[in-house]
Amino acid sequence: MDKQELHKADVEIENWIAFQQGDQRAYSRIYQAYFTRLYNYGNKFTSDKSLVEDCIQDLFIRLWQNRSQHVVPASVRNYLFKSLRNILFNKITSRKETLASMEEDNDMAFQLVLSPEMDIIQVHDLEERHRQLTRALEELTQRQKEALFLKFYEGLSYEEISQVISITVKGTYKLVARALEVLHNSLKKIFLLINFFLVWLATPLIP
Amino acid sequence: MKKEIQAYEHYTVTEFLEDEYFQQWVRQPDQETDEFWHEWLKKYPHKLGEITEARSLLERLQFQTDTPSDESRNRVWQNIVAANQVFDQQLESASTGKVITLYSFRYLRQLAAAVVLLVIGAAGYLFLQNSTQQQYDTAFGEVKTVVLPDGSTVKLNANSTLRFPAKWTPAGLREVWLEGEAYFSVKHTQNHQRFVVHLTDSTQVEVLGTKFTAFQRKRGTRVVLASGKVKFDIERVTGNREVYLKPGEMIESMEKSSDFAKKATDPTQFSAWIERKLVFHNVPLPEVLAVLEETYGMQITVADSSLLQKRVWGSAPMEDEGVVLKGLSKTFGWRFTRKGNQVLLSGSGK
Repeated sequence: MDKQELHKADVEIENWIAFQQGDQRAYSRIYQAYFTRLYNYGNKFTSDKSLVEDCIQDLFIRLWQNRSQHVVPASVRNYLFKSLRNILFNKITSRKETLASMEEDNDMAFQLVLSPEMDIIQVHDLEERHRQLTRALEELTQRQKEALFLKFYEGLSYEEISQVISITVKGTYKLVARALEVLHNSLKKIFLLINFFLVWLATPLIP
Repeated sequence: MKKEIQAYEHYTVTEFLEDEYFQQWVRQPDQETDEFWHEWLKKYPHKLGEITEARSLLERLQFQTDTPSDESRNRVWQNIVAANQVFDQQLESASTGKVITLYSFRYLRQLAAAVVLLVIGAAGYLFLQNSTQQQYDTAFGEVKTVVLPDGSTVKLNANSTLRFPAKWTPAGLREVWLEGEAYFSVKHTQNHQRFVVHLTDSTQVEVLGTKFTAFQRKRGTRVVLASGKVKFDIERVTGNREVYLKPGEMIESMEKSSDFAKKATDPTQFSAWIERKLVFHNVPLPEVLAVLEETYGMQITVADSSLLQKRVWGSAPMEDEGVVLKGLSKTFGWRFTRKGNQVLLSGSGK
């Protein structure tokens, strides 16, 4: 963390303490700062948008009602992510227990989709890589996908991810490493192809 | 996190990929990381291939974002604030209540003053309170939670509307108007305020504090009680009628039967939609189709009237509007064709 980030974290913690003392504006700032990110994260677990909204609502109501009991978290973001995750999991599992579903349930499945290529260069190679990567992404386990999301979308460290998803740091490292390996292998084939293509192009020139 | 410059000498592509300092350079570069890695490449130029390969993967990991609408951001916030206000008020009244019992005589004078202030305050509150109504609607396939001014909660089923005054007086009637279907968890207040759900012009449900499902659509009216006690009022030209329900009892007047009949039932059957499930326990097909029409806005036509005799068992997640139709066609071997919200259901043919 650089100085600027440290300062930001300090301001956030100060704001959190104000909220715990009953400052409604500080509370509202937390909501405004995190609603979009929590919404985005939550919607990766279920296709039911109103369920995610309900869970965020629950999360913030609980925060306010138990504000005096909370300890100041080391990181507000990680604390909120972890809490939302727990609430969401509880709701989804209780829903599953109450009723046996007719078709296979896709809930709890982490949906991670690559955004379309930023640069719309219609180069075959780019498209092919995008396709390969998308395919490889689908092969990953739910946890691997979630870890990738937290690592590369949210920019969490291995340690922070381990706190949010409640596994060891070592386990988190392995999770991300394995996921990257799968993704890398999918692209490797293309790299090999390109290299092969270049060699093939080059050979006739060698006497 | 940052290692010595030599530490990376024998790194493979995979090792670069997993390294947080390398990731940081690709994903959130700053001057420091930029300088470090350029310096490093000058020292180990033969590693350019590995670096490029690792970079090209990490650069590609851009994931899609689910962006909420402003409407949902505001609605969720309003619900939160409403629930918290109620909580804070209860907390306050609980603590002031304690003070009065402990020091009631010594502080009689202050108490009298406080009462006067309270009365003035209440009058002002009543004066300020305007008749503005709050309205909540749900789209097809959507379920919403609404927190009422008294902290009671209402789960609003798909394709439904709930209206109530924006503010309630602390002593007056708690009134809401429902079109569609909703599950009420009504809080019992200390002063036993009545809570009334208006269904049609001539029917209403009255409670003090309980949990129940109320249904009011074209098809008819139904109230199912999960816990507590409710009074169901029917206004008639021939004289008004009051029916009391006990937990596990329901009263309904659906389609053909014009009169209200009370019967015993399993209340969970009528509140499965809260869990965003459609549940049918031995339900006649016409009713199943009516539920699909109400929930998803489909218009279902049945080509073969013999199908209507069937009864249906099953449950399905609400999010996917096709599941029930698919389930029916699989179980009974029926076919359905769909154009927009028009659905045609036909038998197996042969």
